[in-house]
Order: sequence, then structure tokens, then C-alpha cells
Amino acid sequence: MPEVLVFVPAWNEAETVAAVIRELKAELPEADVLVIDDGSTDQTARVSREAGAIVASLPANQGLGAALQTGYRWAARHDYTVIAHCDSDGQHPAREVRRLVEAVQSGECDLALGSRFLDPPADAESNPAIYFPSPMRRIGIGLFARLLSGATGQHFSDATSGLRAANRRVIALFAEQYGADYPELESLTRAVRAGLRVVEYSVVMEPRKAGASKITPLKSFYWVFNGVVSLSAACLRPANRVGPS
Amino acid sequence: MSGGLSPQATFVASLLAVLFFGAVFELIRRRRLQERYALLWMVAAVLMLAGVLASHWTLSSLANLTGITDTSVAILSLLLFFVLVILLHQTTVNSRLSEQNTRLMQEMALLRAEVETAARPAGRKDPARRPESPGGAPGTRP
Repeated sequence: MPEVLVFVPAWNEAETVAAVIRELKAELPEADVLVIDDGSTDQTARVSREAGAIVASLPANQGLGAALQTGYRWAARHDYTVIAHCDSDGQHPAREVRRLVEAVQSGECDLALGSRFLDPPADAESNPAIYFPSPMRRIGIGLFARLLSGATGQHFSDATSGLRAANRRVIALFAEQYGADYPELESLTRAVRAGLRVVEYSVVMEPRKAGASKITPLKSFYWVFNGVVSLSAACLRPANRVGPS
Repeated sequence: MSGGLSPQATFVASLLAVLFFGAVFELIRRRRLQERYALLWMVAAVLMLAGVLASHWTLSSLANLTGITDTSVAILSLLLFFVLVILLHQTTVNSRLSEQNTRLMQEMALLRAEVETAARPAGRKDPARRPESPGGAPGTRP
């Protein structure tokens, strides 16, 4: 029987995280849900516990990468065969999480990525029920996708989506080492260079349910800079070796 | 071109170097400085003192070495460079510390989650599915 863990990094998302957990539990009844509370100062941990999730609380805010790595470590220690992770603001519908989990379970890939740009619905920009990044963000994300494609020799349409599913080989790789700040590009580069099969799947995301995005112009700039540096560094390191699945 | 320091300047500078050495030593004695950094700072203090006492030689060879004829510029540039190297080293120390810190926090979060799930009577939907669950001590799983 396959064991699935869905983990959700959350930083001050008490308003939205419970609904995310309930939706995940309804859609993936066989899965365990782990919330990584990244040093929240609100009720995120309590609300998540009440919604039935396992909660790992980081004593202080450590950033998305460190939170995700905590999830990978939990998965490695408890020997889950497949993991998925998604955002805690409700942007990633649970049915899309399940599609990615199923893709990994079927053996199609080691790491499944939810892409917003692979095959977006025609009305993606006008439909209020769909989250589609603003043109400014699309330029940044597009640039990153191109960089990532260049670095890995594999085409990527969306480099920065926080919706992923993965199997044991990926869990082992990321539990051991995961970038702390803005880890999307570096982690994908490492996975591809380690010989893992990374496949994008088209997903539709929903607008966040409450709260505000934590991305600010200054952070975006830092993010671009950090992404370029970590991507180049990842390309200059020897490739990781991973065991058989 | 480059004479040594005046006697007064030599005295003040050597006094400062000696005081600096004393300060380093005192910090180690009070265990406020780790020995591995003490070596760096003690060597720096000794070099300072030697440089001051042999100022005629140091200043001229510095000027020859760098090609900067203005000895004060040469000395300042060299010092700035030294400070930059130390700062860079400090940043690496900082990065390592913050990484270890993160690791520690992750470990703490995971252990707390272990304890909580172990304490919750029916926390897991199907504990029998997990061979290590019954009686397994938290944190000892592979």
C-alpha cells in the first residue's frame, strides 16, 4: 500500500490553512498531511492541528526552503513513498495535488511539477476563478524558466511553482540538501542533473483565499539575483548521485 | 622617499599593538574568544608590533612591493584589504552558523511533531500501517 505525505509550508496563514488541510484530506483520504509552521506568530499551528494535520513548528521563521526541507526530512524519516507539497493559501486545488501524486505513483516521473503556463485555459487571464500571474510576474517567471531550461537542457514552462509531487529518490536528495532562501531553481537543477525524471503537468490555480502575497518588489529583485547565483552555482557543482527508486 | 616613523609615533603605535595583544589575550582568558580566532588576532598583533618597530624597513619594502610610492596610501590599502578578508571570513562563519541554526530548528520542529503524534491516541489514521510506530521511540526511526 503506497504511503503518501502531503506537506504544506505555512507562515502566518491561519485564515486559509485549515481549509487547505480539509480539502487535501477529502481529496487524498489515504494521505497524511503535515503542516510546517515556519515560525508563525498567529494561530497557524493550532488551527492546523485542529484541522487534523501533523504540525512541525519551526521556532523562528527560516524561509520557504528550510520549511520545505523539514517536510522532506519528515518524509525520509517515516519512509513515505510519495510526497506532494502545495501552498497554504489555497491557490493549489487539492485535485491538482492528487493528479501530481498519481503521476508520480504511476512511475511516469520522479518529480512532478505543477505548471501554470504549460497549457493554460483560454480565459486564464479574465476568469476570476483562476489565478494567473500578472504580466510583470510572467516576465520574471518566464526569464527564470528560460534560465532553468538552459541550465538543465530540458524545457520548463514554469520554474517557480510551489506545487510538486515526488518519489523516494527525490525525497532522499532534498532531505539531505535544499536551498534555504528561494530554492525552486536550484533544487530543480540538482534533480535534473542527478538524472531524475522531472516532468511538468499543466495545472490551474485559484486566487488566494485570504491574506496577501508575501512577494514584494524588493524581494522579487533579491529573488531574481539569488536565483541566478544559485542556479550558476548548482551548475558548477558535481552532480548528486541518487540510488535506485 | 620613505623614512621610518618618528620616535613618538613608533612609541604610540607599539603601545597600541601591545594593548591590542593584551586585549586578545584577556578575551581568551575570559573565554570570550575561541582559540582558533585567537591565533589570527595574535599573529595580527605581533605583525603590527614588528611592523612598527622596523618601520623604516616595512614602509620602504611595502612601497617597493606595491609600487605605491606614497607609503601611507600603501599601508592603508593593505590594511583595508586585510579587513576585507577578515569580513569575508566572518561572513562564511555567519553562513555556517545560520545553516546549523536552521538545521537545529528543523530537528526541533520534527522532534516536537514526533512527540505530538506519539501522544495523540488516534492521531494517525492507521498506526498499524507503520511498522515502527508501536513502541518505537520518537526520533530513532531510520
